[in-house]
Amino acid sequence: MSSTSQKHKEFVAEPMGEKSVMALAGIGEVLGKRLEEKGFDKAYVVLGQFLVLKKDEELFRDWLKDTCGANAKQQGDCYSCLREWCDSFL
Amino acid sequence: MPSFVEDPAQLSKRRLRSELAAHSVPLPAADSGKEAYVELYRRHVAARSGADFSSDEDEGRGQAGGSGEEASIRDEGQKTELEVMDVSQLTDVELKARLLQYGVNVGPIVASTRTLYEKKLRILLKPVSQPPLNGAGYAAQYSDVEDEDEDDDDDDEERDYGSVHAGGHLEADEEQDQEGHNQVGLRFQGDARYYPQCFLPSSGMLESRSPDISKVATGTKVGVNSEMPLGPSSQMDLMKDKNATRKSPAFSPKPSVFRPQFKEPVSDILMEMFPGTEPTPTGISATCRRPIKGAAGRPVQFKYPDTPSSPGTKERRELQRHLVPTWIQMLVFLLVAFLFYLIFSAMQGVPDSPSAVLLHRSGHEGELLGDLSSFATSEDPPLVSGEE
Repeated sequence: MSSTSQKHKEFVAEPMGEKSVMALAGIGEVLGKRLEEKGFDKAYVVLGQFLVLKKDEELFRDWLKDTCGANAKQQGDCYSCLREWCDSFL
Repeated sequence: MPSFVEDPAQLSKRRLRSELAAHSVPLPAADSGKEAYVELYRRHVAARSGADFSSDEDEGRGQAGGSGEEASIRDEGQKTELEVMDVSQLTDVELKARLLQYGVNVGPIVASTRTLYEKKLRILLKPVSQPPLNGAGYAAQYSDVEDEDEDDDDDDEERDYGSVHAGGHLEADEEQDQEGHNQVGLRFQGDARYYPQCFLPSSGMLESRSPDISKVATGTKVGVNSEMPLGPSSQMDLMKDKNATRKSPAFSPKPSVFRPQFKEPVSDILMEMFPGTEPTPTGISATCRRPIKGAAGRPVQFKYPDTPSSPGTKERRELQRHLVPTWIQMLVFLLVAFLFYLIFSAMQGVPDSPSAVLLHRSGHEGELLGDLSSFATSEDPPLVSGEE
């Protein structure tokens, strides 16, 4: 990805703390609602899933698609957002 | 495909075992009892054979059976996706072991990740006979098969081809002679279209194709035979068909029965020519473009003299290089510097002596003056002053 969104920068800039799942890049209102329905209400829960999949891009993308129906761009945004967050804070 | 519905409990253990193996069901441990076999048989083979009878397609057999079975086993919401049964039946440890066999970096298999790993294993288990560019993933958007109307054309062509072949088989009247010519033409074209097989001698393809041809040929041969006695109208039809056939080999790269089989070797050849390239959805693999010399980068044309093209330029350049080597330059510089130093020192030495001479002379003059003054005091003072 050549450029990153504002949301991505904001998320990657600091520890996620208790941020909502919608603070993740690529996760907007609709996907956020769907994720919350499945119990992924906080960003760190998604991070947990991300980590339990060993940061594997393919699996995480698949999971995101299955869970909330994210499209390819949303999957990529969310994945790179979490990966960069892990690179700097994990 | 078992075409019987038997009570598996009445089958022998060995029979159960072979049946399970035939359905590629992982066999239980060797020391497990018959119950385990019966259970597996009930679960896999029976369910699958049931699906056999219900489903139209052969390919969807395993998946259909799996979904039916899975619906009863799993109460999760993901019933839309079809699951192959033996994958969903695996325990976490088995699943992990299977994935490790395929070189997958397996993480913890827990409730939230299990579906993903199952899906992954299912994808891996799927035979990779078909390259992904024609995979089912694109089927919704792009299809390999032609549209319906073109399919009709295909059918026509098929019939033509068949009739032509039939003519070759009959070899009776003079009409058939013409058809024989057609057949030659078609054969020719056929050869041209099998051309890629020169590179790819896959006997399997040939074998798989030839029965098709003969089937078509014999099939329409019967049809022609039965049509022949019907009268002039059917013969007219035949003529029309022939005309169509005569036109097609020359001009159109016509769609025909063999197209689907024909596509495969082409892509294979591409793969053969460019190994290591991943198959792309378009089937065209593009490598990174290298700059063409002098085309886009204008300055390149001034680089041509750089290349040692002729021995003359090379010599000249060497001459230039060896004309004044660096050490000679240094030597010359040092020589010149030394020369300058000599000159300078000589120049410094020269004024010393004149001044000394001058001093010397002035000393003499002093003496002279003294003499003169003594002389002048004795004789004539204005003379002395005039001399001074």
